[in-house]
Amino acid sequence: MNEERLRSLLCSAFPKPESDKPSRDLWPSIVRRIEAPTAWSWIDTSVAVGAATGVAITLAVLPKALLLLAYHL
Amino acid sequence: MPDELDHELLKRFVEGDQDAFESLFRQFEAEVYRWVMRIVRDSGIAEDVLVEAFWRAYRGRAHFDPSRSFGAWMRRIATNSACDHLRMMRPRASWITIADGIEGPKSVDRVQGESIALAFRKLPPKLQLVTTLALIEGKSHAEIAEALHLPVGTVKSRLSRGVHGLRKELARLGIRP
Repeated sequence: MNEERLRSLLCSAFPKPESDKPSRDLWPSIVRRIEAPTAWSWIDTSVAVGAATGVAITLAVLPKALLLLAYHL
Repeated sequence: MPDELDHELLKRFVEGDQDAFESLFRQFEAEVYRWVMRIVRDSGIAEDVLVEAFWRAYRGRAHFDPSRSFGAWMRRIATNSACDHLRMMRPRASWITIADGIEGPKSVDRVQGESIALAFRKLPPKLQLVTTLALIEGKSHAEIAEALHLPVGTVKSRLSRGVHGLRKELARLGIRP
């Protein structure tokens, strides 16, 4: 498959977007996000620590997993 | 992007003035939306990403240097937000089969289009981003490099990996035009 054919397939799968501006005023949503209290519970902390530990152990046991991780990031 | 901005307005934004931030939002909203639409290709998702990007900008305002371009800074944040969204969507895409997307009779072209879209969404987001800009939007390597603040060599390498991955996935789905 040449690149031109691939380009044409992609253009047909992802047609040019019709809208060039949002359908509604998004400012109120942004204000709500800004004013929402930041929730950082002990659950978030323990999940983050658990994930970091898991990644560290995986990399220590399987250093080649770093390449896989780098590819997916 | 409209980047002839009043330095005072940018300073007020950095200090947390919400009126200044709203003024910046009104000036940059359309440009950022168009940029995000190029990446995510869906108006509903683009609106969510836009809100997320401006919220991140406000949260990270202390890191913005008012002597630099607000437009370029905002575009970088919007790109990261869009990529995060693509990353979030990706695991779900990997569980979808072609049959999942088919509800009732559809044309051959439509089924093929959906298969191609699914195959594309399986690529890592950073490859999707470069491939979208190069193949769908028709941007040159240099333009992409400038927009994403990447070396041209990185753009070429990501594009090549994106094209290779997409060809492989399309072949797996039996699409051989």
